[in-house]
This record gives sequence, structure tokens and C-alpha cells, in this order.
Amino acid sequence: MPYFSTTNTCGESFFAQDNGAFAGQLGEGESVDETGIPRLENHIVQNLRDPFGEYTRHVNSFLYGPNTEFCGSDYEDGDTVPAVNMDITLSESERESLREELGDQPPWRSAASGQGSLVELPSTGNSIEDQEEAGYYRYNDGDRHVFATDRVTWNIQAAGKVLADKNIVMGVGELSAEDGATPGHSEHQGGRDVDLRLVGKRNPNTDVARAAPCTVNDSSCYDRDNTFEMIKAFIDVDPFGIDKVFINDSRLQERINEYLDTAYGIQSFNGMPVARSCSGHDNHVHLSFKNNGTNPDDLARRAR
Amino acid sequence: MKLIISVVILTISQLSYGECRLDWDNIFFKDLDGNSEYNPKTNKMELQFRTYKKFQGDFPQKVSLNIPFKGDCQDIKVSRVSSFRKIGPRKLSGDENDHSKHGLKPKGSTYEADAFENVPVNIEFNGKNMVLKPFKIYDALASIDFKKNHVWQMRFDIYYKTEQGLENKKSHFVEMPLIH
Repeated sequence: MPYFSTTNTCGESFFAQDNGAFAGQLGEGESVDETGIPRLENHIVQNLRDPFGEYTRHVNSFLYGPNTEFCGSDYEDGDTVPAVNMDITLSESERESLREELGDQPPWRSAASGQGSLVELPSTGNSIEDQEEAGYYRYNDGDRHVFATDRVTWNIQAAGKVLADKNIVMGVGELSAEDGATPGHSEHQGGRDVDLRLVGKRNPNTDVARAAPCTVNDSSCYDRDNTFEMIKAFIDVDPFGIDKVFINDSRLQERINEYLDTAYGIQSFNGMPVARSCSGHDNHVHLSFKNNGTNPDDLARRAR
Repeated sequence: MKLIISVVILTISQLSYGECRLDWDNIFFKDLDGNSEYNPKTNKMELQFRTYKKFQGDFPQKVSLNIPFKGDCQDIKVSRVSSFRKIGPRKLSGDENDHSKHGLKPKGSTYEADAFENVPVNIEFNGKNMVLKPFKIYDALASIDFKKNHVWQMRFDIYYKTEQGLENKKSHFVEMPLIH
């Protein structure tokens, strides 16, 4: 027996999706809510994103146990935190503003079609003012794992601008190496994965909340609400593009999954909740924009 | 009687202070390049040097190996440090769509020697730690065929002479788990 095993905490479905197979299921259950933001009835999105949902849930449950058994957080602070704004952040005018500043969101490309040339996420340098204006900074970038697809780079910059308006500055860590392949990671191999620091508390002197090198267990540093705002910004700029969020804070996971459901009708992906635990993710959030072959733009168009 | 006890205690404490004790259990690595970090107290960016017990995800370019000590260790002579990599297939951690193998680690693999370029190891004492440097950790990771393999663990063999002139060797292992 050449290996020994430990508990799997990042369970995945074994099924890749082919979005083309579901085109015929669309056209019913579409609606637009009072905010003017399009959404689908839950069961339509559920079927669209998760055609084998019930089956995969049983398989995953059998293989990995129920989701509640995934690594949780020891973070206990925040039982009485005020309710976080669950409204959709971006209005159409704000989206238009992002398009004016950053150009159109680049079209999604499937991993199978090749990653194309990866684009470097611009550095905001050492200037605090520049970082606050962009809404992000890069950290530990000496390894040059600062490249991503044009769409993911756009998403990071757009989320940064959304956060800058809220006086939040995120910390962007590992993306991918320039040619995609990135040592030390099982993912991050094609510019579609983003590691983000947790966001800390607001500085009372500046009212700015910055991402900081803290863990979910350090309540003197970690701020769940601000970290949620960061993830929410990514969801809002590419709601159907995110296929997973790894963060070892079960309460934050609940909030993310609730927001995906409430705002966009997304309940799960391949039978798994989008936000879940995974070993090694106490001190950062991992976002993936792979979507297992389903074009998020198609989903968004159909949602309208 | 009290005087005798006091003298004995003083003598023992003097002896134990003078004796060099290397704390091998609390070895750590320290980034040598540093990273510019925001200091909320000064509202300025400052260069900070992160420490590591294991390497995971963000791999520093160059690190020092720090061995905490107590007592007088100036006479300790480190003759050389040999480094080894335990290389195994990446798939041991599971492919992206097959996470059933997460957490698996190679077992029984042999170590590959000469993990780093043959750079002389510089030794310093900073008051608390014996500092050996530099070690190019990222190169040791990235210089293999990392699309197929991964460096799962490294071993550092530290050869040194005690203050009594005795030859000694201590091995330190550092884990390098693959992360998402």
C-alpha cells in the first residue's frame, strides 16, 4: 500500500457538464425581480448548473459524508453580528460604469478551448492611495504567480472597484504563472483560480478595511462581514462564473451560499454547495472561475 | 547553609547559561526577501519578513533556516548542510475533478539529494537563533517537472561540531503539502 490517507474536505462531483445539452430546458420560469436584476427561478438554475444534482448529492454524501461534516471553523465571535446587506450590490448603472472604466467583460473561454494568453494583474505597488483607489493589492508576488485569463483579471479589477467604493482593499495572492502551470498547487493551472487574503476590521482612523494576513480563528484581526463583502463583489461581477469558494469558516460559507441562492438562484454546483471547507484554507479564500465547461455568459443570458 | 545553597544555585545557573543548547524542535524558516505589508499603527507600508514552519501555497524565493538556541553557541561550527527533496507524483493529491485522493501523501519515496545549487551556507548568530542561509526554496520546487510531480517534503541534514569538538549531525524535515 503506497499511500496513507487523510480526510477529504474539498469534495467534488465527478461529473463534468455540457451546457449545450440543456438548451431545450430553458424558456420557462424566467423572471426579473424588482431591482431590475435578472434571475431565474431556483429550480431552473439548479437544473441548468447541476443536472445530476440529486444523484451527485447521494454519491458525494456517500463518499465524503454530509456537508456539515466538512472542516468547520473554530471562529466563535460574531454570534450577534448585525445582518449583512444581502441586496444585490450592482445596479445596471454601476455595471455600465465598470464597463466604461475597464472595458467590456471579456468573453468566457472553456478550459478545453485553451486558456489563451494569460494577462498580468496590474500591480498597485506600495502606494496606499493607489491600493485604496484600485480596491486591491498584490501580496507575496515575488514568485510571479500574478497571471490569469483576461476575464478573471477583469473580474478582480471590477471587484476591486466595487470594494473601493466601500473603503475595502483586498489582498490578491496566488493566481497562476505566466504559462499557466503553477508549482505548489493542485489548481491554479490555467489562470482561473484566485487566492485572496481575509479582510480585517476597519481602521478607526481611516475607516478603511484592508485584507490582512490573519486566520479565521483570529477574531482580533478577521472580519467576517468585510470578507463576505469581498466575496459578494466577485459574485456580483460574475455570478455564474464562480464554481467554488473554499474558506474554513462555516458561518461565512452559509452566508455566501445563501446570497448565491437569494440573489441569483444558485443553490449548488454539481451537487455541492459553492462555498465549502477545504484543508489549508484558514488564512485565505480560494475562488475558482472554471465552471466545469458551462459558459457563465450563456447562463446569465438565459437568466434574462 | 543558605549561603552554600545560593552558591550552588548560582553555579548551576552560570553553567547552564554558558552551555549551548540548540532547540531543534523549534526550527523555522524566514523569508529573506521580505514582503511589503501595511502597518495599521503607522498607516505605512513596511517590509516584513514572514516565517514558516512548512511551505504551502505561497513559496518564498529565498529563506534562512533558523535554529533557536540558549547559552553560548558561538563555538558551534556548522561544516555543511545537505538538502534533499522527496519527489512524488502530483496526482497523489487528486486531480481537479477527482478529489477522492486529497490528503494522500507519498510514502516510501526516496530522497533526491542536492535540492539546491551548491551555494556555501552562511552562518550567523542573531542573539536568539543560529541562522543558516540562503536556501532557494522556490527553485527547489519549480526546478522539477512540476506538471507531473511535486516536492512533498524536504530534509536538511546539518553537520556541525559541538563546542567540545565532537562531530554531530541533525536532520530537519519540512512538509510541503500541495494546496488547491
